[in-house]
Amino acid sequence: MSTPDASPAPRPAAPEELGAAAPLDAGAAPDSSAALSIRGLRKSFDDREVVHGLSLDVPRGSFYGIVGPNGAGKTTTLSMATGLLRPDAGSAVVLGEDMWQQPARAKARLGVLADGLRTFDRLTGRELLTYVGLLRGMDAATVEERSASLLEALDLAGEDGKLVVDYSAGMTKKILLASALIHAPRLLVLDEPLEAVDPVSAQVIRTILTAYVDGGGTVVLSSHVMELVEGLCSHVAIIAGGELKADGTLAEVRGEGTLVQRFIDLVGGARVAEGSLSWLES
Amino acid sequence: MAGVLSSEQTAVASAQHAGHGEIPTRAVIRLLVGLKWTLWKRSYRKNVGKIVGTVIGTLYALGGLVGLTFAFLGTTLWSGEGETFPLILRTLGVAAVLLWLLIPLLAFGVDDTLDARAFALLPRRARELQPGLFAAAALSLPSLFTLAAVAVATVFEAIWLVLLGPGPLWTVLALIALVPANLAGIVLCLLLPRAVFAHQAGRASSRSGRELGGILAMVVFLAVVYAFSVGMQSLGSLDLDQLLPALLVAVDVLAWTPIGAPFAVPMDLAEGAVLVALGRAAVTAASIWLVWRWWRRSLDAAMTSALTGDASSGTAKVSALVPRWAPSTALGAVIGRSLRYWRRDTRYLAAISIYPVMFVFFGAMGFVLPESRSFMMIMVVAMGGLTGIAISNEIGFDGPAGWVNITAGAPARANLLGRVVAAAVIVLPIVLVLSAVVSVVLGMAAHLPVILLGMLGLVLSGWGASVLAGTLLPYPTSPPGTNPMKDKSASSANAMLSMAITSAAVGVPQIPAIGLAIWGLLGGGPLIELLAGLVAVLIGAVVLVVGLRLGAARLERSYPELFQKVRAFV
Repeated sequence: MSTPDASPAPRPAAPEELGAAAPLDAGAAPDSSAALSIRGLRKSFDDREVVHGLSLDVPRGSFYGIVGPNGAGKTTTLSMATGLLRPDAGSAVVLGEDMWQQPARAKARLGVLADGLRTFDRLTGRELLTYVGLLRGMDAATVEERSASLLEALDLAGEDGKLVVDYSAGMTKKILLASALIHAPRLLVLDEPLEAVDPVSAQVIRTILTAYVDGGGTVVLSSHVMELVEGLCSHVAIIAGGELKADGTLAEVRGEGTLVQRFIDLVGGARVAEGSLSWLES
Repeated sequence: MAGVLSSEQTAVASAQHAGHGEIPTRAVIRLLVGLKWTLWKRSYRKNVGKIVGTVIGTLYALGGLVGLTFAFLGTTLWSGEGETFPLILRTLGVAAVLLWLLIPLLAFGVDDTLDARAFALLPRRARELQPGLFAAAALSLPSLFTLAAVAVATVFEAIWLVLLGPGPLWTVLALIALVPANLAGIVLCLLLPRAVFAHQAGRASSRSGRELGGILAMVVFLAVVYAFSVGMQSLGSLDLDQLLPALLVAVDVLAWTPIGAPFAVPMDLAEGAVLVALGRAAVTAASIWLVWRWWRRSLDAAMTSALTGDASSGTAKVSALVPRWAPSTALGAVIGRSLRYWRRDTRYLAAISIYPVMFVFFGAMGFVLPESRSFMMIMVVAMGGLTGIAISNEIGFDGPAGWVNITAGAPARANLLGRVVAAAVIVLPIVLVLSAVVSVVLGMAAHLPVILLGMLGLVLSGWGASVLAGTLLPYPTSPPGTNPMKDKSASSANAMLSMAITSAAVGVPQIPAIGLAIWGLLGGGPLIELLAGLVAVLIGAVVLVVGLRLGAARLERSYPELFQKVRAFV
């Protein structure tokens, strides 16, 4: 990861610079032609609001990256969009189905990879896939067939008998991705899918996701690795402090510079005061 | 590495800077003791349970100290001259060291606030850290109370030596040896468990091996406790005169081992046995030196293999998730996952591994005390009914993994029913067979129908109550594989509330059946007994169906909220 050492002194963004696309009104109707349409999502913990009425449209067939600093509200927003956390206000519509009004129908169209939450890790990879597939109401033969091909594609087929709890970080992300894919959803929401993943596994995951989008699927992924998002995504949204700072196609959002540049401009960054660590250099 | 550095940087890197020098042992001791003190104080922050536990423990210990003082007062005066007082002292010494070794080993483990592995990245060797780690170990409530107890003993030993001692020369010699010998005893008390645990921690073992070890330790511990209880009950019939000689021999032998040697030395001198005293002093010194070296070796090993303890594991048997007799549906998937967790997650194993011990205990108690047989039988049936509580916190046991169920849109009814079916497959055969065996052993085979049917009814209503409680009051638990002896999740207020309500909900609906059973057993005859059993099963079935229905409705409505309550393991 390169550091933005060549950037000019950070400055807060002026309001008119925010967002390349027109900002969405929280009261506007959700766009049912979008793969994921979020309107006015709010969430407070202990009377402190962490997501402030966030609205966002993810076009179908896009590879959508959500970036933001740690604690920006990315995971909270995605949790509300995937049915894990009930929003205080607002709605999330998955391919035309409201997640909180029609949860069963919305979940059937959606595959999710959550970050930082353990799975049922006392199962083997194959058992976990069977569990998720049958839970989704798929028939046993299809589950078995797809499990086999997913395990093969993700290079996990040789790990039969190994419990997920004993998997490495990369293997864990891969088996979670397989669980999210087994019912062939048309929208994938992946929270930090490449966090702590080795380069080989990361390449496998990237290849599968790119092929999935080429086949007409939509991917929403969150990350704080700008280079990853810049290399993979067609669209990007920048979230900071529980608000949407910018969204649109990659070209629209980053403008002339790099995404890192744009991100630092919008979010604001700190510089290390010159000479403060001089004893490290002598 | 050197290749990428310029010559100037190499010079910088090789220069001896402050922070890499030697550090005096006393400074290490001060640092580690200070660190332990700070961490110990902080462990009480926002932890009411620990504060209450410590207060209760301290009160017990203070009571024990007062009791010990009075006991010594009586013993010193009562035993007078002769061999009795030295014998009592040697026995107490053996008991002290044994307790310090066994209690951590079987029950609570040693306090690992300062784990040697945490120092692995610092440029210090075990030899430099060891005195500080030892001093930090001495700074704990149990060691302070042991110190106080030994101080009380020392004072009374001195009084006995002066007042009733065998002769001036021996009294003086014994008085000189008294304090060093007793201090050596305390040192050994502190060192032994640490050395054993450091050795165990350093050994590479598989995860499943470690987890099963925890359960085994708990079962052995409970078995010892209950066996002791049964033993005490039957003690009345034993002849004390037969027991005493055996005890004398045992103490005499143990006093030649590290366990009994240190505290025995002053008493040997008081008896004029110089050679014996010298021998035991040598045993004491040698054992302290050896245990110290042994501990250091394990510390060294721990500091160079800080991460190996968590790695490696066995391989699970490869078979289909859904058992052959279950449908290949969401229900079958839940059954299959639950069955695997019953086997692979020690929290479930721990929940049921207690029951065989309890059943044996009640059976043995009934056998030893014939007049209590009916009470013991009732206890067996009640225990069987309470096994249902094992599934009263299923949502909490899932913990963070609940997201998998939510995002997959798991059907609520299958999600709950599958867990009940899995519990039935594992638990039901065990409790039915064990209670049948106990009833035959206690000569109550004639009442087998009401015992088995009543048990079945209680288990059914237990599941119904648990399923409902699990969707109303889930609470966060420890992660899978936590050593049951160290699992603190059951001590939270939520857990207590949930358990109390569930236990009540198991029995209360069964009151009509219990009434019928009492009538039948007190003279109503076998037909009434049978009727009571059938009513119990009927009530149980109704409670289960209602519990499942209400629980499923609740889960359907508020799974995300329940999940947020338990999404972090404690």
